Amino acid sequence: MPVLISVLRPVAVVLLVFGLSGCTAVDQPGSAASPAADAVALTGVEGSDRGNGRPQVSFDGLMVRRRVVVAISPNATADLVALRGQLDQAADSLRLRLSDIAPTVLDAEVLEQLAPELIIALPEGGTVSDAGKILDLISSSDGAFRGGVQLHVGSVLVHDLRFAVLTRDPGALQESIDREGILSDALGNYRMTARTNELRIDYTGPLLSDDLIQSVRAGIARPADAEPDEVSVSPRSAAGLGVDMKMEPAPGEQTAPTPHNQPAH
Amino acid sequence: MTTRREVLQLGAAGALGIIGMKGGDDTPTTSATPLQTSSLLAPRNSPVPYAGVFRRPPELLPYETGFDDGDPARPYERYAITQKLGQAQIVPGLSTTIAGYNGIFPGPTIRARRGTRTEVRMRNGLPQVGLLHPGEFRTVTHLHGSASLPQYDGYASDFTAPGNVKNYRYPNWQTARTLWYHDHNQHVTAQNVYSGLVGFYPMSDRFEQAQLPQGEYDVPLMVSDAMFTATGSFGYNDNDHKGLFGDIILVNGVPWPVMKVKPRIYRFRVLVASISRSYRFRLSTGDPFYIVATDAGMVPVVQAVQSWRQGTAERYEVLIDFRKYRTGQLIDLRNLSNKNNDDFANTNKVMRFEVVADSGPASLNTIPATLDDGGAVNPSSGGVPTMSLTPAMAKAKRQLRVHRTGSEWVINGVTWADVERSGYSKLFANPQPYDIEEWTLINDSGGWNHPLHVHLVDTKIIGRNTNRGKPFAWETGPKDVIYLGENESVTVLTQFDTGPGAGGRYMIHCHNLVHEDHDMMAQFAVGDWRVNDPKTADPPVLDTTSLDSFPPAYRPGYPAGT
Repeated sequence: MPVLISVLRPVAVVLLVFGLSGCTAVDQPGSAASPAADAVALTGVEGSDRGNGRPQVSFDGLMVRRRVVVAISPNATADLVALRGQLDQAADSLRLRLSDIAPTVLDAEVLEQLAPELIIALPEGGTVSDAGKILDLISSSDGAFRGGVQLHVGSVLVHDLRFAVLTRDPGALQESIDREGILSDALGNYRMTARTNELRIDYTGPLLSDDLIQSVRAGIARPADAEPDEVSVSPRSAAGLGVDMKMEPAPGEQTAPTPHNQPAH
Repeated sequence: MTTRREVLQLGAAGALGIIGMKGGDDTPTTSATPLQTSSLLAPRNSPVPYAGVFRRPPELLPYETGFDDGDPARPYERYAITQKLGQAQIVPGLSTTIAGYNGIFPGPTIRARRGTRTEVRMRNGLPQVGLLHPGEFRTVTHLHGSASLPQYDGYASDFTAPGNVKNYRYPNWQTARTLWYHDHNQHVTAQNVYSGLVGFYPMSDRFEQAQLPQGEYDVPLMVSDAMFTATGSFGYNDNDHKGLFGDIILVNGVPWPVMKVKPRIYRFRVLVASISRSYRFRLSTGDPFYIVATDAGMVPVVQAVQSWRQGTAERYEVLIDFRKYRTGQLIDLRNLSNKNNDDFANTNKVMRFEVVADSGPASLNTIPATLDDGGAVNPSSGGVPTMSLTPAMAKAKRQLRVHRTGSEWVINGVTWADVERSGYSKLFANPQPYDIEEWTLINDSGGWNHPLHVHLVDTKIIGRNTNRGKPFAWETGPKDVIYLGENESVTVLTQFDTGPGAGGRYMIHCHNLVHEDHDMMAQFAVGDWRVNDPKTADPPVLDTTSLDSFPPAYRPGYPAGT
C-alpha cells in the first residue's frame, strides 16, 4: 500500500505519494540555494543563544560532530511512543542505537516549517542512507506512518563536550549543581560522572555559544569553589572526525551534498 | 476592534522608529530614528547601579467598605483606579512619560484579604492614541492569579476604550498569594505593560499571616527591564516580535536601587514584570534564599536555594536572613541570566541591600521548615489542595505544544486570530468544574523560552524532561506560570476550581508578552463555554463621572530607601 509522506526541504514542503522502499527521500545538508526570506526574521541575535541562528562557536574541532537526525511531524492522532519504539526496533536490526535530541539542532527554517514532534539522532558514523533504511523498515511494517507524516532527514552539527572540574567531594558538587538547575537551563539534559576528586559533565546536543559555555563553566565553578577557567572543556572522545567551524558554511548556504553511503562527517 | 491586519501594519510602522511623546502633549509622534537596541541616553542621564533609592509602591485605600446585604460574614471593599499618563523620574535629569494606574509606575498596591471580595472601578483616562503604539489606547485589566469570572478576568477582547469604565469584581476566596494586575489588551499587551500598566495585589489570610513576615518586613519587588531614548522616553524594540531586552534593570520602577535593611528576616515578593526577559537571582554572598511561596501561594516545604530561575509573570516569595550581617555591610542581588536572553553590561545586577542598625518591635525570627496554606478551599464541592493532586486523579491527559510556524507563535497550531475567527468558540480543552487534568506543556519552538500562563487555575508541576524528571527545587509550590525553557517539557496537574456560579472561557498564553501579542494565545472553557460571556456579560460603559470623582488615598508608606 502506498504511504503518504511529505518530505520537507529547507525552503518548501513537498507532498509526495510513493512507496518508501529503496527511495526514501532525504534532505542533504545545506542543499537550500538560499535562505528563505523570512528565515532572517527567525534567527534571533547573531551568534547568541536566543533564536535559532547558529551561535558563535569557538569550542570546535573534536568538540563538534556531525550527526544524522530524523525529524518527524506526525499526524494528529499518531502515537509518538509507539512510533519511537518502532524506530528503535528498526535501528536495532541495523545495529544502530538511536538517541533523542533537542529540536534546536535543526536549522531555523526546518523548525519553522516542520515543527517536528519527534527528533532522533543516529549514532556517530550513521549516514543518511542508514536513516533511509530505518524509515523504509518501519514504513513497510504495521502502519507506522498511517495517515501521513512529514519527515526531515539530514546531517546536523552537535556539540559533544566534556566539562570537568577537580573537587574533593564530587558527590556533593553533583547534588549542588542539580539543585541549582543552571546546567539544566543551559544544556537541557547532561550526564554527570563522579570520579576520584573530579566531576565530569558530558553533553551532546545543539551547538552552544561561547558565552553559554562560559556561563556553564561559571555555573560549575561556583559551587566547586573554583574559578571558571579551572573547569576544563574538552571533547568527549578523541576518536572520529570533528568539525572546523571556520570552514563550515552558514545554515542555508550551498554545500556539496553528503553521499548517502558515506559517514556524515 | 483593532484587527490583526491593522496590528501588523502598526508593527511595520513601529519598525521605522520609536514612538515618543512631545513634551506633555498627549499626542504621540513617530520619530525617524532607527530601531534602538539599547538606551540612547547621554552619560549625564544614564543611571548607574546602586545610585537609586529603593521605594515601595504606595498602598491604595478603598473608597468604600461594607457588607453585602448587611451580612458581617460577607464583607467587601471598593477601590477606584484611573489609568492615565504620568511623569516618572526614572533616569537622572529627565522625565519619562508613563501610562500607569493612577498615573504611577508601578501602580498602587491593593492589599486584599481572603474572604473579603473587592471591586475595582477601572477607568480608562488615557488619551485616544497609545503611548507606544499608534492604535487606540484601549485597555483590558487582568488580575493575575485570581479565579475571577470570565467577564472580570481580563479577556483580551474585552477592552475598555478611553473615556469608559469597567467595574471589575474579584472574589478573593483562594489561598493567600501574590497576585498582580496588568494590562491584557489583545495585540498590544506588551507595549501597554511596558509603558507602566502593572501593579501588585497581595492577598493575605490567617495562615500566611501566622507564618511569614508582615508589614515592614513584607516587601514587594517588581523587577523589569527597559531601554530609553535620548529624551528619556521608553524605547521599544521587540526584535521582530521575539522579545524586548532592555539594558536597564528597574526594581519598583527605580534603576538598580539600594534598600536599607535591618538585621532581620525579610520576605520579598519577587515579581518579574519584564515583558520578555527572564532572570536567575543570586546573592553576592552566595547565601541562600528560602523559597516560601510560588505564584499561587505557600509551598508545603520551604526550599533553600542559592539561585533560582524566574520568567516573566512568575512570582516567588523568598526569605532573606540578614541577621548575620554586620551594620554597613552591602549585599547585592544579582542576575546570572538564563539561556535565550540578550544581556548588557549591567543586566547582571538587580539591586543592593545595605544593612543598618536594628530597631523597632520584634518580627518573625525563624526560617520555617514547612508551611500550612489551610488546605482545600472548596472541599464540599470536591476541591483538592493543589499540592495534593496526584496523576491518578486526572480525568484527562492533554498535550500543549508551543512553537513557531508561519512567522507566528502558536499553541497546538492555533493563534488567537483563529480563536477570534471562530467567534471565540475554539477551545483547547473543555473540562467540567472541579475536574482534574494532567497537561504536558512542550516547548519545541527552538531557541526561546516561554513562560506559559494558564488563567483561572493553580497547577502542580509533577515532571520535567530535564532535571532527572523532577520539578526544580524552587517550583515545588502551586504555579500559574510554567517556565518552559528551550527544549523543555513540563507536566502539570490542575483542578478546574471555578468557585461558585462560575464557568466559561479562559485564556492560555505565553507570558513573553511579545509572543502573546503575535499570537501565542488560546483558550479553554470550564463547563458551558457560553456562560459568563467575557465580552458581553458585564461590558465597560461610558464614564460620566468627573476625573476627580475618586481621589486616590494611600496608606502611610515606609521611609524612602526602606
